[in-house]
Amino acid sequence: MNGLSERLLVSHYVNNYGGALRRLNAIRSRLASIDWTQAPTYEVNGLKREELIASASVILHEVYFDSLGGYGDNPPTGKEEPPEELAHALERDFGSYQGWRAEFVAMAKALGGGSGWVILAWSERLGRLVNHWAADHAHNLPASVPVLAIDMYEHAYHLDFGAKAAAYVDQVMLNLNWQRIGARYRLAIGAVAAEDPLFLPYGAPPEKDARISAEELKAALAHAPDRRPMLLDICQPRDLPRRTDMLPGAQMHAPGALPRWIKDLPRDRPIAVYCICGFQVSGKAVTELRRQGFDARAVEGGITAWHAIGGATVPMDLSTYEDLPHKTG
Amino acid sequence: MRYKLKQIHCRPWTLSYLSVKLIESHYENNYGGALRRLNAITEQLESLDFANTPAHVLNGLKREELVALNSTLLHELYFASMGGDGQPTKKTAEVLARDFGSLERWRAEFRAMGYALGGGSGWVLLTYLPRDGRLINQYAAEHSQAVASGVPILALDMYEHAYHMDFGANAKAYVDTFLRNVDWAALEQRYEDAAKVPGPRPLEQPEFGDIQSIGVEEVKEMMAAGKPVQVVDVRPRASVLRGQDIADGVQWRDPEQLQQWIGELSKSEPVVVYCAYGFHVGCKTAIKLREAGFDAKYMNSGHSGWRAIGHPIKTNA
Repeated sequence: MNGLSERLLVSHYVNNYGGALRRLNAIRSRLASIDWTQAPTYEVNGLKREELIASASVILHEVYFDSLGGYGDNPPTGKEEPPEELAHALERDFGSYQGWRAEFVAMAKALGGGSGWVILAWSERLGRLVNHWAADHAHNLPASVPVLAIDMYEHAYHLDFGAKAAAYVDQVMLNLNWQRIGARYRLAIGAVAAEDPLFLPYGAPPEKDARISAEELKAALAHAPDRRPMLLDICQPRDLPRRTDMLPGAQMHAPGALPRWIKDLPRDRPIAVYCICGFQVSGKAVTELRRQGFDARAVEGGITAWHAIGGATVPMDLSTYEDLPHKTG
Repeated sequence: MRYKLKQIHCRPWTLSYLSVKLIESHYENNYGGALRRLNAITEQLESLDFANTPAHVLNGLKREELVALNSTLLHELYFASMGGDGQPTKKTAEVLARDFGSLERWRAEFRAMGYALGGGSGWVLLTYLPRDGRLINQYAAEHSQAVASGVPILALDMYEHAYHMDFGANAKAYVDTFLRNVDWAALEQRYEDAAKVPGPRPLEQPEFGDIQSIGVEEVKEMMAAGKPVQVVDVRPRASVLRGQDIADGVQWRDPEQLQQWIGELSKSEPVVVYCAYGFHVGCKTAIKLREAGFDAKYMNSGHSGWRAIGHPIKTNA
């Protein structure tokens, strides 16, 4: 990512997105146990209001993170522009791509110092793309589908930019992943299905059963020991300084040493492979393990998603890790 | 009219565990930004031809004016809230104990409200309510949510600009740090000023002299506790025809026929009479009863009061 720090993005994902998700799940379990005929109206209103806010926060954060990032392993993405179909639509609905951009950017900057979202959405009813304003998660144009969303809550930029909201907005515009945004536009107008490979995180294995979500993994780890998946933590040597913790019971290995550690892997139970964010590091390892006949699955979103759902971790244990240049006796 | 800048109230370098960089940015960009916006909006409003301004333009400007003005005022209070050692004075501790049960109970609520706004935006305010002569902890999800006629005396800014630079997403640590920096001596002075604000003027009915009234909650409590009290519904006959409702546990008597039922009442127990809303029928009946030697009062919100507090009501058969 270009000019947006990993610290900012990870805090945003784990604390704000993950926080919304955890809150949503807590609210849902409260709602599941409510006696609707007896509950006082203020309790129903309070919970349903919080549920709406948390759900909208989850969905908008997913659109936001999905809109960021270039097409590849961290290249700068400033030169990318909307793919043809979306570019035409922006021209049709806003006069020109530049006209759309000027409005969108001005709206985002106008929310600086407060909170809210600026959303490019497809409205079937209006038959066009619209830029819509939202002063909180729950402001929404009914029946519109968000195609691109910029988070203007201050948690989205204060760590890196302080109060300079305008600089943040400019930086986000340089980091937009237009391929993905274009794909979401095609999804919104019904031109592609959500299973389109364009919606896969970069580097993740395409087959559905080669992936496991953090929630599914949490459930699988509650099984009896013989049915529990083995946990494999794959980390590039250069990424080790970014790590402090791991899933309890996981074995940590370097991707380059795969021929050495693959010999000790079990064939009688599934293997859950995670990296930091669930992109190409775990994706490549899982593809190779599956080619060699192991039941390996990549954990979607990696340990970052595990943090976001509030999963337990232990301090990082490097005793199984290979090729540590700084490993001393 | 131009709104003038106020100097920052607390000395930024004396605050514990809040960086000068954070406080300066907050004051210059967020407080200053709100004030600059407020003045720009004000200027625009002053030049507006109201007769020919479209509703959406006026609504937009007045909404932004409200947001910017409240942001300005609340930020001034926020900076004035800090700069102390976080130790409540004797007087403030007593007042909080009076209104919240204990100082600890107040602190627990205030702190939890701050935590609960973490990751979003808003304010937690300790606000004096002149209507009831007490303090409450008020929630606000944005600048413009304020208790009508409340006087805020302590403000905790929960917009993320207030803490992200120093604390990241750790809103709890920020709330705890804020509480350690509260200037309680200044808060006590603000409380004393606020407590001088009179509540809304009560309804006065000088035409009925000094006849005493009693609140509907008090009557309900007396009845529930089994205290001796004779409660009589004296609404005009037309109000209690068949199919209309009457408070549970109360008898209706016709105010026009007082002499026929006055003998049912005892002079050794208090009498409470009421009409539809607490105006003339109830007052006049109470006056007549007092003149006849009864310890009589009128219930000040009448039959509507019973309904308003949710007292059981039955239909006249």
